[in-house]
Amino acid sequence: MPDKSDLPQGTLDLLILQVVAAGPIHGYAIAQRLQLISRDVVQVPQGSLYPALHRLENRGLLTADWKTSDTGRDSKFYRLTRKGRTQLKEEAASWLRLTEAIALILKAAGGSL
Amino acid sequence: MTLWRRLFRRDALERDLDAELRDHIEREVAAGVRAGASEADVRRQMRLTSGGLDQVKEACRDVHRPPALTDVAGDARFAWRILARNGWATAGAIVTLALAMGVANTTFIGTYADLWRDFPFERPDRIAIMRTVDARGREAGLSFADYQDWRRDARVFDGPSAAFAIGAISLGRDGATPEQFEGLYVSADTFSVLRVKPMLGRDFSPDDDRPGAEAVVIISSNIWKSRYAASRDVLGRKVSVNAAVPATIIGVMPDGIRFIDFTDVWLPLAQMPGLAAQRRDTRPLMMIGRLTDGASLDSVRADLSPIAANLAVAHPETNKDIRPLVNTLVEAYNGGMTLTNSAIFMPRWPPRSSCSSPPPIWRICCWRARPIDRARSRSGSPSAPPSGGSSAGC
Repeated sequence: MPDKSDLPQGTLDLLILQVVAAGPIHGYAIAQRLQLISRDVVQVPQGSLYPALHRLENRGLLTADWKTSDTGRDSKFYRLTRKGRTQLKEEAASWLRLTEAIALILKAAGGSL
Repeated sequence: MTLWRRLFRRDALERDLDAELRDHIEREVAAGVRAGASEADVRRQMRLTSGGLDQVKEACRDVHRPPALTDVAGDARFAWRILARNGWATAGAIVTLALAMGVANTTFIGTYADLWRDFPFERPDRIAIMRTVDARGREAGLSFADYQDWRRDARVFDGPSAAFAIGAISLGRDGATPEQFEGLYVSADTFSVLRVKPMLGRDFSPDDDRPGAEAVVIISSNIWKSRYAASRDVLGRKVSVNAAVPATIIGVMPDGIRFIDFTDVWLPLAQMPGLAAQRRDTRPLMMIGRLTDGASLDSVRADLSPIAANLAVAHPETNKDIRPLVNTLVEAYNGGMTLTNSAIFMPRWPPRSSCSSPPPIWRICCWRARPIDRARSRSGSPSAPPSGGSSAGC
């Protein structure tokens, strides 16, 4: 298993929005999806995941409904709101710009790495 | 999640949070067991990474905690966004609030003036106000001729008695716009009975109150400030009273003295139109006198009753069955309540008035009826009682 990596500040919200954008999903599945897609690099513990989900819900970027899930229990499914979708677009574009810029700088620094 | 839910539905929020976190744990345990680990190991691992259910809950509660009250600017922005989003509801709320504040304000002003504000004179409860009542219980003022007789023969007062009549008085031709004010024609001793003195200039003298005397005017500090810009040169200024009588301003009353009601202009009683020719059954005047120490209203009644009886014999066509009606100023205008005893709300009841509702309503009902009383008083009708209440304030 690769080493876990600490997420830069603010990126968890962006990652959650991206995962939820695919369709209604509960908290556990979000954590699993993040871990799977990142090939185990991003592992979000409950103590970080749920405060982030609730914060996004309070900000109106996510909305949630209780539905009976595959386990037979009620689970809380999160969906993206229109505001959340807009926010995701903006943040994703901004993040991509920033990472490209950082990559350019690292490469232009003379390959001393 | 609405702010309402965050603030007032905390129980539901807490239940949801618990169910959500337990759902997560059960899923993770099930997945771990499927992968071959023991349930106890999975749970221990979760506690290590996330620090236990309570800690996770606490972290989530922090998110839901309403912003600190000190964050006023943030609150204001939030409120503004909510209000702006619901235009019609906001407009409705604002209109409702404005109306409610207006009503509350008006009610307070009315009740304050009527019930709580004290008379700005020394011992207003020792000032007797005298009117008349006929055989059928109809209250009225008294005529100028009756007043002269009562004044001459009464022995019960501390110093002279006085009389006054209400009238609208306009001032003009003094460089400012002609304006109509609530006015009072007062006999020369009125302010001595009340024990108030002008703060500028002088009081009326007996000479001012003689027929044919040059007209003089005392004004309230209200119009001294608003009409004459609080100028000390106002004394000696010539004005035209009711667009006819040239008069000189001789005094300015102190702040708060607006005896009686909301009077702004005082003239000597002798200046009252038609006074000399007034019949005994025209009763626009009210008489006041200060009680001597130890004297009661009953002493006044005992003093005045024989005088009234004599007048009834001498002038049966106008004074038959006319008896004196005596109250203190406080009773007549304030239901008997003064600041000194207003902690206990005990207005005199039943009032000597035609209104028949409970006391506070009585005051308001009489207060509303005041312009009617006033109009009757001006028209010289014999039924012009002051008990209709004007405000306590003078």
